[in-house]
Amino acid sequence: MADQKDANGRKTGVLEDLKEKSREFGEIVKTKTQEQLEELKKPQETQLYRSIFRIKHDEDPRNRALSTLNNLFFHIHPAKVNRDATRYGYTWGLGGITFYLFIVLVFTGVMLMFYYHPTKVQAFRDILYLENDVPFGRLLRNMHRWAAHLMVMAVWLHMFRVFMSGSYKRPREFNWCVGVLLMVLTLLLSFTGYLLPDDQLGFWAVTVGTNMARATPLLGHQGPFGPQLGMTPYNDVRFALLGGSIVDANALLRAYIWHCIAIPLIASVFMGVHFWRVRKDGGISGPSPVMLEAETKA
Amino acid sequence: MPELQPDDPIKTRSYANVILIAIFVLLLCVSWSFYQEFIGLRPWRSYQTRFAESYSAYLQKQVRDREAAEKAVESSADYQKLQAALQQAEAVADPQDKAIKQQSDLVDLQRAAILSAFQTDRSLVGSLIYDYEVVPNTAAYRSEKQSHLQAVLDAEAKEYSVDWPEGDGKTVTRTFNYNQLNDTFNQLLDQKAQLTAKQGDIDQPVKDAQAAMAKLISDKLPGLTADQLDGLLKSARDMDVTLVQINVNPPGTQINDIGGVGLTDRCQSCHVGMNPKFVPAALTITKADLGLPRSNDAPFTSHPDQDLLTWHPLDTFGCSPCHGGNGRALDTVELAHGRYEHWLWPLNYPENYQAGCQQCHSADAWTEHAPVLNEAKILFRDRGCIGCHNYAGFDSQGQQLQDTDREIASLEKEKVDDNQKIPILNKQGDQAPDNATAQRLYAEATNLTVTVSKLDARVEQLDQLSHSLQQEVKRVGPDLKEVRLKLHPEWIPYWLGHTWNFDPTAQMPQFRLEPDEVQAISAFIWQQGLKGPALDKQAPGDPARGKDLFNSLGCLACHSIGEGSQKIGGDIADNLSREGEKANYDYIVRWIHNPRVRSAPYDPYLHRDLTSEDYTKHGLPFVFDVDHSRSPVDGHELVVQQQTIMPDFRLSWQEARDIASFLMTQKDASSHYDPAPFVNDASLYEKGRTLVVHYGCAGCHEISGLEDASRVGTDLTQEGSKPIGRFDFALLYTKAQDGILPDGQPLKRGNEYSSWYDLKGFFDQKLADPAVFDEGQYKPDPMDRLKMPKPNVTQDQINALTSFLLGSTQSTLPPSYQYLPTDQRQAIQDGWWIVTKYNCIGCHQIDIGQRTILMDLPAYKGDNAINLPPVLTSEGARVNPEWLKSFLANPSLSATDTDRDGVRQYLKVRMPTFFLSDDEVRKLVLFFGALSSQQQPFIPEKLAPLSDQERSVARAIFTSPAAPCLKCHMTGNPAHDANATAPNFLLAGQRLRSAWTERWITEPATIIPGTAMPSGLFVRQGNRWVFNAPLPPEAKNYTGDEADLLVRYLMELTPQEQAMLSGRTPVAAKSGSSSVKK
Amino acid sequence: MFGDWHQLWVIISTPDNIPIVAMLGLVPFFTWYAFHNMLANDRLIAQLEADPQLARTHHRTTYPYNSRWERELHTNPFLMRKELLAAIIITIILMVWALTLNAPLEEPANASVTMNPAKAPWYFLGLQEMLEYFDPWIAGVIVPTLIIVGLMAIPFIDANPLGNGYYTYHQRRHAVWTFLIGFEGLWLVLVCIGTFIRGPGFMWYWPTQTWDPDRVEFNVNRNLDQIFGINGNWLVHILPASLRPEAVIIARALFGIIPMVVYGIAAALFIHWICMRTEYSRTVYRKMSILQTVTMYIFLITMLFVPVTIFLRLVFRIKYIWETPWFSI
Repeated sequence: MADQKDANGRKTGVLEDLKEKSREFGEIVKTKTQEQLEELKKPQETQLYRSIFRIKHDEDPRNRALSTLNNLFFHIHPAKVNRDATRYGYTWGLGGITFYLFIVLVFTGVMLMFYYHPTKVQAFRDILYLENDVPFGRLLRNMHRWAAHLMVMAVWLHMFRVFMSGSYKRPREFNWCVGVLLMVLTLLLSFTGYLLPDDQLGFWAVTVGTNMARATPLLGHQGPFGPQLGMTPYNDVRFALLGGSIVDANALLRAYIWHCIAIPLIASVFMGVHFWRVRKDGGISGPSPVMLEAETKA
Repeated sequence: MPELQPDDPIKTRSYANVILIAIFVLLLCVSWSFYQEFIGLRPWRSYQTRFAESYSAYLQKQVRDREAAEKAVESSADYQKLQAALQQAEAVADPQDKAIKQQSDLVDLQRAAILSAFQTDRSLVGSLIYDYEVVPNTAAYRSEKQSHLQAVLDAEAKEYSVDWPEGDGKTVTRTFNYNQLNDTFNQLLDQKAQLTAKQGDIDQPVKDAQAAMAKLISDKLPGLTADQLDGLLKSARDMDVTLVQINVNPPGTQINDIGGVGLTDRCQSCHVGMNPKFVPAALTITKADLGLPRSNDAPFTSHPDQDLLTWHPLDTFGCSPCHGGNGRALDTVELAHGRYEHWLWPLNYPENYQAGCQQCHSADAWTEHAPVLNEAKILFRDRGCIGCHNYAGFDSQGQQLQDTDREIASLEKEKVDDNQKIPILNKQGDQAPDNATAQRLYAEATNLTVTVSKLDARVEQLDQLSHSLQQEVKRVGPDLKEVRLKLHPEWIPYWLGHTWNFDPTAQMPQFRLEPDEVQAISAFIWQQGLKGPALDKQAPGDPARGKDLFNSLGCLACHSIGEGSQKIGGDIADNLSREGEKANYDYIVRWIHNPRVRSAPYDPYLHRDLTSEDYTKHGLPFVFDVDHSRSPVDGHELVVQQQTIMPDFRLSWQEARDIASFLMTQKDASSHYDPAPFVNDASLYEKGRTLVVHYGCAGCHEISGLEDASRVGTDLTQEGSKPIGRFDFALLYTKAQDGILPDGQPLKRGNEYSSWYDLKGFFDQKLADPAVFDEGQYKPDPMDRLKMPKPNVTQDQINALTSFLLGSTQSTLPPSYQYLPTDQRQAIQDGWWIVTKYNCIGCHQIDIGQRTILMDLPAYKGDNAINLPPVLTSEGARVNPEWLKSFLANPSLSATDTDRDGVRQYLKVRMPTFFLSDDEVRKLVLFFGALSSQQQPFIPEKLAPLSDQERSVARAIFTSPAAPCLKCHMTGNPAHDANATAPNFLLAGQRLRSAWTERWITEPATIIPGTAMPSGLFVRQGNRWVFNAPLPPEAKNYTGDEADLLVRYLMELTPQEQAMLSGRTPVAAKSGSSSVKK
Repeated sequence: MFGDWHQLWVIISTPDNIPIVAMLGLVPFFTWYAFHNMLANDRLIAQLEADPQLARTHHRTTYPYNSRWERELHTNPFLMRKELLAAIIITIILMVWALTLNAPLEEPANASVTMNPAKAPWYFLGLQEMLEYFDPWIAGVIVPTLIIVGLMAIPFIDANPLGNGYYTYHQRRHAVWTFLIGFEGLWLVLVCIGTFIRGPGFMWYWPTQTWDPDRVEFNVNRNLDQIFGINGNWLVHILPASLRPEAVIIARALFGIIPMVVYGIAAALFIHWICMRTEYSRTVYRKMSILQTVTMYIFLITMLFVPVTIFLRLVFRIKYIWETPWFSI
């Protein structure tokens, strides 16, 4: 670059040129930053936000509705609900609470699975390990245990509420049946988890529980007509449950598979059906306007 | 919101505050969980901080004290003297040092000066030589090779000029060629080495003086130096608060951890004082040291027995395997110590710490450093627990004998069958239709005779085994077959009903018996007793002499005498204070003369006692003893001895009568016995028998008809592993859980009130009074009650036995942790069972530091300790095992003159005959050998025969007035031996090992501290021992080892030689040690 | 040994018993709240029944109403915010619970050491309690199956069109009572008995009575036929020779049918009487199909059988009503 002279006759060299350009560049960065910081004040307007939430969040009814409908997690709800259905006193949110507890249980359960081996050698030791070594391990195990209890309680109370508000009636008969099955699955989930620490408490609870299976009519070796059908301790329904004639390593493994894989899968499918049917059967049942005797078809 | 309806309560209601509060509470919970995770569940953090603080303070004080103490020592006269010596040595050494330093510096300079030239030249010459060598040595290359050679020579001749230092900074220029450089360089190296060596010699006195000063300080002030303490202080101050964990993963580990996956032990995270990193073994700290004497939550002491930690290193054992507890949990003290319902291995309480030892040392009868456990094992046998309870490892000979007898019986039956078959087969052969059949039948008959002879051989073998076993079977209680010969009938019911009234220290437990039960048992025992043969009538003896003998022979090692505070002696056998009230004089005389004598032999094969008719029928005299132990009826081993551990003191009949007469005087004048006519009431017999079987009397006593009775109690081998639910707390269940003792008092363990619904609680209460677990239950028939009698034990003994039981577990430790040695230590383990069985430790000290019963008797206190039986801590090294065998079999060492001790006739206390079985003798000999780490088998050292000159030197030493050996040692001359205090030298040749003997005559006090044998007889000169007293001139120029010489002389000493020399020795005065000790 | 409050505290504070203790509070609250809503609605219904004019215009809920207010609200945020709140509160409850109480962990499983009492998890204690009164095949298999099937059958046999989606007692008295008896009166009560009353040996301990593992209970349970002294004497004469030795057994088996049938009829009559009490229930009853009616009777008769048996056992110490070689009831 040849030397130039500016208006004042001073030599303008490379250095001066560079200085000038970087000043200009600084200006641009400054303005852009200011602009973008301004934009950040409305995060809903950002591309990132939109890519995740798909819709602009303007305060208008359409967007409100879309925010529910366009969200995988929220769209189990309708866009709008009966105004009185938002009152806590009608449902107490018990179904939702049950579902939330299920999520908590899946989360804590998966964490626990990282540390647990369903073998006679390791199972009990792993619990000790969880209690004493794993960071937050004790909390994790406690939360899993108590969430399981809470879920059983929530399921029962949910059923109680549904019955008391007559919500099983047409067109929700089928969903009630699904609900009953889900309740049974909840109990089975909790029960199969009982054995997993492989301690005396679980061992004897499961022994007591599965001993009943011996007495299954036709299929148990101590049940009515069982022996007549050739049932022995080695081929009856209890053997199938435990993978053996006593509660032992196989029972532990089976309980583990039922608890961690089979029942959660089955329950998830039923839950899907349950939620879908809630929507399809007209949302939650109420609170509906009361009907009068006179209005029934005789 | 475009269409907000201001009066719609749902739409206008804001939940922001509620949600905000909820989130705030949730955050609180999350912080709480963080607090728990890092502080709440990690109490060890604060422990470590506290430890660092108090330990630093303690160390600071220690450093100060130590520095002051060191200063004090430094100002002492001794130290000053040493310092003066040091200064003097330095004054001498310094100028020389300086000169040498100068020379050495010059050498260094010179070497540096030529180094560069030397190195250049050497590499140049080296490369030229290489070039020369690689040229082939053939004609074609001759000239080339020649030129290379020339180049080498030129290089070697080339001269280098060097600035050569001459000292004092002056240099001259010198020239060197290659060879000169080489030589000079080597010379300089040599010079340097010489100078360094010289400097070392010159400095030696200084170093010695410094070492002497350091030694003075370390002698005066043992322990860590101020610098070391300062180092510890630094490490304590810089202590990182961190988890301390021991991980062990040996195969098969189940230490407090399920499923064989190893040990995780974090005890030292709180018990920081146990960590050798902070508190080295040389330092022990207590809570008082740290200024926390009363603090319950300051787990900071160091381990009180550092020896245990050297054998059980922390990094392989950790803490919890021995002590119990949950080594992994640190959340709370309760969890870590495993003191909660669901932990199977709770921390043992201090009084039961040694339960931990038993887990791996169950095969030991005696475990070093476990005195409580050792006491428990002795008690378990001695208090008759083994009479009812089986425990693996404890006396199983009775069981083995029964098995042997059964096998013999079945073999005998087989023999009879076979013998019957032989003639039948022969007869069939005679009548056989054809030759082949006849041959076959005859061969069968012949084979059967061989089979029978084989059976005979096997039976013979079993008989030999049972001969040995018969000698080993011992019972805790006396033989009740001889009750009619020994006891007054009216005494028996009194004893059964008031056992501890009669003898407060009785071994026999107190049974819970109703008066009618007492009568029935007495009647059964009395009617079941042998009625003959009658005892010899004994003339009365001299009680005064008897008392002397009783007190001096060693009876008190097992028996006690005197009541209450007057009581002296051992607890292993009866208190004899009231012997006169119960026993027949004639029987006691026979008993004392030889307690193993029976009135009639028992034939276990026929299950009855033999009578003299049985012998006469077979034309044999009615003689039965260890050497005549076969039954005349069936040829098998008989029970020919009393099954008591009481040994035979080989006393004369007169001595026996004297002692018996003395014992007969031992009675309580005020005592009164009701007549007991019911003992002859035959109608009580059956009831008595039922009761005797029920209460298992035959476990401890030999009773006619019940010789083979089995133990009535539970097997206790793994009692400590039983789940708590298997223990029947009966109506005390809730009391136990609430920590209320049977007497209604709250239970305190340590500082805390506690539940006793655990194994310790059960064992403690059961041992204190087994009947409490019957309390409040409706049991109209006494036979329904718990039958365990109340054992006669003190609270300390209960603690010992509880520890023993708590440790009796099916161990969760891997097999490699079990103490089951296969080397020499196995012999030690085997031997202790015999040593404790026969109470050898009542008289002899065998384990270092172990107390004997006799030691604690007033008669052996102070100077009289020299009258104690010999200390056996080095017996294996001392004696020839062959000799020991013969000595154990017959301690009189004589077939005829048996009323004496074979070795130490000068002692009043006497080694008795135990009639040990061959197996026991073998085990004991191996035991002593192993205790002293002796090789097996023993091969005596070949000693060079003495030359005449050596013999005369040896004689001179032997008879030197400075150490007149024969003054104290026995010579066989009764007049002299009366005052002797040491064994006869004539035994030395066959008895002693030469290596031990040499150590003994040179340094006896290191082998047996406090021995009468004088130390310092020899002094070490160079590599030989020299007699430490003037010797006659002819002996002066002997240059060999004089101690060795004396040993060789003693080993071949003959009676004639001894007799000849004994005249030259002054006769001993009884004061013994003091005159010789100089 | 009554008055042992410590024992009661031990039972209540056992970590795994916390849920049932909580249920003791929660269930009455929800019951009360349901009735509270029911009665409010019932008052409104009564008012509307009395005033058809009002019924035509009334918004028909007990909640505040204004015609200007939207009838439907956006889920987001009006429902979501409450769900968020519920999730947070549940998380808080869970965390506090988990931080203060540790999940139980007992000794490692050991088949040779029996737990006393060996109890099922609290939610199955009702079934375990039932084992005391019925043979295992009934208590462990038939009863749970019937409970599940019965619950699922409810919407199909409940022919009452009223009370759909709102709380009402007046309009569905029978349904409400049936469910209350089944869920609270039987299931929860049995769970509570199993939790609080059953101690070592699964024996009956009143609250504050000390649990004593050594307690022995003198207990004679008889079968109904023994009370009636059935010995089969008369049967011997009728039966073929080969069956005569079993006469007693056969007689008892035959006899057992009688009380079962008697109970069945009596219970059916009782249920029928209840169903016919009011005009409205008669209307509903008439609408039911035969299948619905039969199913309803079977389930109700079976359900009532449980308290009857428990009553017979606890009060009259009767073990079996009907004993046969293959099964006994």
